[in-house]
Amino acid sequence: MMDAFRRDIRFAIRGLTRSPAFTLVAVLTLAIGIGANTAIFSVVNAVLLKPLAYADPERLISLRARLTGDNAGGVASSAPEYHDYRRQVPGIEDVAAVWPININLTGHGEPERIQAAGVTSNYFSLLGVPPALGRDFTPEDDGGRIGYVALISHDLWQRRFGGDRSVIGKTVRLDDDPMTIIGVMPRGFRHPVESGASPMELWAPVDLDNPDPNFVNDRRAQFFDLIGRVKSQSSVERVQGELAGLTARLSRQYPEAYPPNLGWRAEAVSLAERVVGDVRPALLVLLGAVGFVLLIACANVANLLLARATTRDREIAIRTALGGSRGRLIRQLLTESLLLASIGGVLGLLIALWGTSALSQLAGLYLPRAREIGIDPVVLGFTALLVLLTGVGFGLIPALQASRPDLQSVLKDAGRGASAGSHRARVRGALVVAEVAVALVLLAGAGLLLRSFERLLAVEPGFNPENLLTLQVWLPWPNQPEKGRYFTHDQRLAFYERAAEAVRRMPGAGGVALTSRLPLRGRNDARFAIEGRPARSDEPPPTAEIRFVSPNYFETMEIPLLQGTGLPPVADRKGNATTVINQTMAEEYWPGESPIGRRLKLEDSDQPWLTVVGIAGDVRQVGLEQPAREEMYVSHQVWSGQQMAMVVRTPDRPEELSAAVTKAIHSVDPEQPVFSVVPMEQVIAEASAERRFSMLLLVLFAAIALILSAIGIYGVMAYTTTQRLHEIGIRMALGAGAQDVMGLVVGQGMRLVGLGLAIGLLGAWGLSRVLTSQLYGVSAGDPATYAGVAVLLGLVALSASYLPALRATRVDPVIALRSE
Amino acid sequence: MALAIDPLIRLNGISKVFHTEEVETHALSAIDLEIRAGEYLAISGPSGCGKTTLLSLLGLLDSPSEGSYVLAGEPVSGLSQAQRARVRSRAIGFIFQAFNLIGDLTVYQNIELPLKYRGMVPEERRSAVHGALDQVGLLHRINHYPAQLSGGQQQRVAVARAVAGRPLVVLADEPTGNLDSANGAQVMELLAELNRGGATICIVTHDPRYLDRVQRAVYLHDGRLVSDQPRDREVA
Repeated sequence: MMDAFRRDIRFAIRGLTRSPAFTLVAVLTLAIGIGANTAIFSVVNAVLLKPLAYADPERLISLRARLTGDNAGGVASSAPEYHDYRRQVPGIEDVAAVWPININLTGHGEPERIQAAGVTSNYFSLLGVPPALGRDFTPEDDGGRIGYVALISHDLWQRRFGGDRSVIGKTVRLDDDPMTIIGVMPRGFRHPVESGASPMELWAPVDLDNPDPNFVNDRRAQFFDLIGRVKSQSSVERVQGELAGLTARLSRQYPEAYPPNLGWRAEAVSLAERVVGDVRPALLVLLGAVGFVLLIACANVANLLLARATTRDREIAIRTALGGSRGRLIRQLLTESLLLASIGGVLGLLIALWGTSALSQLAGLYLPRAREIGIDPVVLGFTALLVLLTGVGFGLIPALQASRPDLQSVLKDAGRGASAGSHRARVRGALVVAEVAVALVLLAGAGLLLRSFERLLAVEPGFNPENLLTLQVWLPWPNQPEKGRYFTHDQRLAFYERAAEAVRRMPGAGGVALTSRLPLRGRNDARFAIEGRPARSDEPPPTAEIRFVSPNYFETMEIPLLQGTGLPPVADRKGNATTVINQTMAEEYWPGESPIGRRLKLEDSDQPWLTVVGIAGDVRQVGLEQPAREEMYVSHQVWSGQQMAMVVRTPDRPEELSAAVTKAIHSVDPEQPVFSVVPMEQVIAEASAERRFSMLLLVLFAAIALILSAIGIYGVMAYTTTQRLHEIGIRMALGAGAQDVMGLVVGQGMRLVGLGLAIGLLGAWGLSRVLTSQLYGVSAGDPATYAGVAVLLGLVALSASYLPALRATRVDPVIALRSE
Repeated sequence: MALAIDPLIRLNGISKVFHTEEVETHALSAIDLEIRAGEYLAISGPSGCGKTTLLSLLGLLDSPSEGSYVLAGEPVSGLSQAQRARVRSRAIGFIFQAFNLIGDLTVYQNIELPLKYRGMVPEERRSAVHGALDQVGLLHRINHYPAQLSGGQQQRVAVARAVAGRPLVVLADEPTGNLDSANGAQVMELLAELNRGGATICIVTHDPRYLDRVQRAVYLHDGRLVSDQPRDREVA
């Protein structure tokens, strides 16, 4: 048996080396198909399939709330809720709270803004991951707002301490508080829901039993992300049922914290679903798309094999005549196709190695678990399976066809010229039809995403992002804030104004303005009350995106003032402060009347009433694809927080100012990290990064599909033309001119293409529904896109048919007539 | 069928040389030949003597290396490929030894093909195809495919295809070569009948039996025309 297998392999190698051009084209085609599939599968494997890298990850859950009144999901939890879940939900074994914070790290090098988290001391033990160096937190470590000990990530340890094992016991300063490092987490440990752009690098214990009323007793201070572990005998579904009961009890017990109009509802989902649920549809679409690319590649190779089989008819007929069984022949031919697929698979793996590194870079900003993307044994197994499936897939039809030798028909085919191998020609034609159809589906999908992206980029953000540099500062807030440098509003305001002034004095800086949050960098909404309009208990309270800005913000950002005035240069903080609202808010709350002069009050605030003095144009604060919502602007002189962003208008390229701006701010406070120093255009690009990722990949796959289809059509037409040389000679003898011959060949190709396009359009129309959630400003059935891609594919197919047709017109009829 | 231009075909000093990498083959040398309209002429000679090459030149499938070719008063030896295709579609009908019907086309479509290339309108084509098929006695096979016909029937379809457009000359290359003697005789009779109807026919044959059926036989040897004699036609 092994001997026979070795013989088959040897024979297959001889066969392939005899036709190097065929082997090269087939192997490259398969390498592209298998490589692209392996690369995308490595992403799917890392993101969707691989269990989270924690102990018993299937028992981990994310606990958040939904506000049905506000139609908002993913609401964080308060400390009292943390205790409720731990004590009152029978199916939950334990809950850890995470309070993600952006924090200034100083000491041991340049000041740096890092992503950190205050976590309950059971966080690491709940995840089941002990530190690689040092020790885990104990309940005794808790203290104050954030404890004075910390665990750091492997990356931070390497970057800031050069991997020094004596780091344990060293002190760093976090928001000016000294903090002792007690441990280093293992390489590759990640906080489950961190963003790729800013991974979590430091953990400090936070005490949720601390009776500080401002911090842990307020049910509305919902800023903890809760991760739970379900008891081994319970399940997520059962816990969800128990949470429904708890929701009802808490709503009854604390009506002020959970008013009926808010519709607060505790929810549990598996942690894996929380981490990757949002990206699953896009990844599955990409996996489907790349599968289509492989189908086209297989169709191409099957076509090549069928063409090759024609030239081997006699060889196979003779082998059969000499007693070779059909099974033996099929085995031999399949060995050859599996060998081809294997070589293609090895090359494909090389392509995938390069592809996965490119993909993890491209997707790193937004794709969860992007750092885990790589080639592992599961991916290798997938590739091996692909090799097997493709080898059998593209090899079976040609093998079955070739192994049905009929010496008589072989001879007869030779005698009848024009009708030679018509069955095989039909199979080849069907393969072309199929690959054109599949390519069209891919092109339509890519076209829809491309048009969506184009529409998204055409969205006016409401300000002018060109020549605008942005940066962020976050002032420290130590455990004893009153002892900090930026405890009071006046202290913060003084810093912001001095920093802005320092930047303003720089050469190359035009307008310099401040805002509590940049557009497209997340929501910050506030509930407010309108003077003279008491809130109704059956309606959710009015909310608006709120930004505290310097008075020149509108001018610097080039946000138009549509009515009234802007914010005054010096704000009245004693009781007559002002606000500028946007057009959407004006139309929502004062339809048909002017809001100028009306007064608002922010809920839960001791701030004075705010008089509306102007209406500004709408700004896309939350996302480019989301219509502007109600927005209000209040002077940063009225209130300022620890977080502030600066925008700097410049006539030059904004990047050129980056270093100078940081230096200017350090001249005011050398300890203050300046981070996210990027042009506004990059902020916009980041806001569309996920769409860009899907769009780029789908366009890439569609382009590969287009090229492979063109090669397939060319191959079939070139082959068919060669097969029809004699017929073309006859036609020329009968008076066919070059145009007639051209029409004959191109017409044959285009008939196949036309059928493929028709089937493809139907398929695309059906399958594009899966893209609906990823589309913007274009419908899944957009006729212009469908027409465009059909014309594109038609033109490419026409070109692919043209070359063989041109060759056919140059046929010498005398030679062609003799060719029989 | 024939035009009143005499001679219909005039070859003067026609030579054809094939060049391969090292060898120069003189397929035809200094051929002078005139064919009158309505004439039934046979070209014969041993294998490799240049019969088929001469027929290809006559049919404008190939161009001579030297010499002039005048067809119906028009010099055609220097025509481009496209011009030659146009002349072929209007003036020449071909019959091949291997029938050369197109397997994917029906009998009707095969016969219609040269008429299409000529640009004939559909009604005229239809009537011409029916007329030609009637002439060869195969009207009842009009919708069959070549594979459904016997060899003799296929060659009769080929004859119909050659004459349907009423060309100036019908060129037949060993038309009986692939047929048994009964079918061969039938096809030769058909050609004779066409000639009696006025068609100019030029056949290549090395079968001496059929030389008796033509009016004139030219004999080629080593690419040279060595004999050109009128024949006594056998009366059918």
